[in-house]
Amino acid sequence: MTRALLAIGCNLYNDSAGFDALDGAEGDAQRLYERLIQSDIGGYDACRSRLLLSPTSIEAQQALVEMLSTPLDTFTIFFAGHGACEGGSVYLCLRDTVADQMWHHSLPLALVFGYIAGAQPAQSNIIIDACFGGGLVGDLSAIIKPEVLGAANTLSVTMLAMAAMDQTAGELPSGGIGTNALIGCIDGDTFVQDHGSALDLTEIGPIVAERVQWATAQQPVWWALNRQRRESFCRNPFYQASAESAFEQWNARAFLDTITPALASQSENVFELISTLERLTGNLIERSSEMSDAFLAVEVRATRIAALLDYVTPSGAVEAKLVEECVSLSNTVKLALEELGDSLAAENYALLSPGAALSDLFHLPIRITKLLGWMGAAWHIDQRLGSATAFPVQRVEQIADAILEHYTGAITAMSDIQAAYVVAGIPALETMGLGIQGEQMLSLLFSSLVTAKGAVADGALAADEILTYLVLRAAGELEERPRLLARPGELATALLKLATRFDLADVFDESMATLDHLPVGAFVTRDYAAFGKRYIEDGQNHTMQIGQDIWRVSELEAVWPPQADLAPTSSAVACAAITSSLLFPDRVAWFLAATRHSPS
Amino acid sequence: MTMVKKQSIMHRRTFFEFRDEARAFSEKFSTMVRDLTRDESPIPESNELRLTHGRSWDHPGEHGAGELQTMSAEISISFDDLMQGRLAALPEAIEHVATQMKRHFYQMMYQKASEGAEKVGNVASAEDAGSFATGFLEMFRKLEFGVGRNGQVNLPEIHAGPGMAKKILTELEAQPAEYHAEIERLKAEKTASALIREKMRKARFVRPAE
Repeated sequence: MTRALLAIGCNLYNDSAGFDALDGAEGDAQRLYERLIQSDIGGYDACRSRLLLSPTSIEAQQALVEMLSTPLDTFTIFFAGHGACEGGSVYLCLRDTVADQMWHHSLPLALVFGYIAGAQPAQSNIIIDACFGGGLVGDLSAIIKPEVLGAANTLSVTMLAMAAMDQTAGELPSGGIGTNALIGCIDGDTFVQDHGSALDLTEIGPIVAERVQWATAQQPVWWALNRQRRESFCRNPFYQASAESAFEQWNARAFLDTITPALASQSENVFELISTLERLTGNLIERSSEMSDAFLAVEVRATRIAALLDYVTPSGAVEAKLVEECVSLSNTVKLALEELGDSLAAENYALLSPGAALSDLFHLPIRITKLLGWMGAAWHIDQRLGSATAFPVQRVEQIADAILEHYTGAITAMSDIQAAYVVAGIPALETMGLGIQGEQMLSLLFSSLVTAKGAVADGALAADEILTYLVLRAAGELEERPRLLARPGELATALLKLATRFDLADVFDESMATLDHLPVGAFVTRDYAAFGKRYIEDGQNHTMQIGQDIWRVSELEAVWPPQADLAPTSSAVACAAITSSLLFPDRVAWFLAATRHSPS
Repeated sequence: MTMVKKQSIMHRRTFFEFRDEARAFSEKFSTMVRDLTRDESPIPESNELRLTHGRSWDHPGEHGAGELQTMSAEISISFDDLMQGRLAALPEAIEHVATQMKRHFYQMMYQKASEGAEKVGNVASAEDAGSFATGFLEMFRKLEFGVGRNGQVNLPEIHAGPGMAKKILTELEAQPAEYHAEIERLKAEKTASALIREKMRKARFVRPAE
């Protein structure tokens, strides 16, 4: 988008009898200019923008013509100085303006409107901090014409005058009263709103008016003409803070619990239900993409999917919506993978937590498998539902190779919640042609499981128990605290189940004695529509013990429940179950681990 | 005219609810009771399985599925106790719940053990055998010893009520030397059998290629 700003501040007037010199007008223009050309505040193109300090009328008009001569998305003009309203028209008074010949050597607002009407930037903002600025209403006839406004994609105009038509605009030593209020909104000293990433001038107008009227009789006025979309005047300083606050305690389950009553009340009308869910989650999804965690937006989208899953019926509107949401999630994952790949290419340490906390000894292995899991989810969604964008196999290969090269020791079986990620991610690597990487990851995970003698942390391990777990694991003393451990373990089951797929059964069999007595298991359900619920009632826990029930991978295959290999009939439900298992990893989409090769 | 407000219990006014804190307190109470129950459980922690979803489980070595059973306990605390700040009500409540839960647990455990034993015919009747000691010997002959994770043979445990336990010990101690010799012989025989079975069990693992 091309955005240009013309900021004019006029302190000096040749006609000293007609106009008093001003103290703050140039400063006002400068303050606004310096802010709005910053990419993270206004995003106005510094090369296309101009700051004019006490210019002549010719200089101002020339600048206007030059700036509008090439197409613009947004044009903003700010004026601080003397203003006049004569004959129903507003004149912006410049250095060479003569008080009793206002029509000459000034910048008539009608002229500004005429130029804008001709150039047709998509959006124009006009801000006047001058006396009688509200009189611009008399000049609107220059643009309120069917030739200029009304049709689709015609220009829209937002205007803010800091004083009414019959008022003067005040100035303090710190600057114009109106401009001070405006800058307060831009800087975040004054709250406007926190639900959008940008501020529209129509949102700023009433706040400025309120602030100015607190202390003075001055009454700012604002108008919006032909608005066809929400426009960005400047970034919203409260949006990021609010987003950070909203996500500081982000918990998908707690969020679902909060919105469930609202959704349940709409369950009779699926279209209302979908609409309610979009309203409740739309802002969060938008905000989540602004956060530093590249995968937060993925998880927020997955939360929306989990909420929908509860209401799915075959070929219904909810199922169609699930397809749409899963595809969107896949696209979001692909974006996150691009960022991940770039980060890893730039820096080997990219996967460490900011500040590289010691807790990464526990969380980094989980983080790695989680990345694989979401990558796998996107792959599975694309395979089942199709995608308009190609799956970035090369990017995944780059990421997998970087992880294998620099994070070998962290490809570790640490927590039972890794089962869900492993089942989603590692078969996907094989299917997309990265079988070597998949095999290496699987081998490393199993090797670490054996080294730990199967003592993987319980998936529900409390955060304040992690340190205890790590210390005992380092000392090889986890047998003393079996309640810290996953019993039965689904991660061990997942790794053994995938062994046949990668022709590693014989290799893994040689280490099974080290896992003697380890209880393993798999919870299998046919009710995948319940995968978003806190507790899945329908299903069977298949438990077994290494050294009592199975001694080899082939024996696990022999007792493996056939229904575990059955995917949901609906591809939408299958994809939603996959994403829900990654969002709430105490459930595993076992159908992804179905053995494709015959056991040897 | 006097306006009288009708208020149902559900909609009565409240004053400083401390809702979050009350929820946390309730969760901690449950955790405390659970830990008290577990700490005195005869089942080793390493033999506990914790399931997250579903209400049933199966096992390749067993026929049929296991089902979760609900253990419950009820406490009542009077409004007066709360209003008079009787702190003793708290440990009383915890103790009461823990005791009830423990009783339920033991009932369930022994019931399951009995059902399991009956299913495979591991039942001996003192009455049919003629005396408790004879019945005990018959039971001992049916037992199989197990081997623990440390490779040591586990001798069977006797669980009985305090009165019965004393009676058992008294009667067994009164038996002749031949009886005790037979017990020792059986113990040695079953220990050896257990070690052989354990060796065979471990032999089912694949040995790493040399």
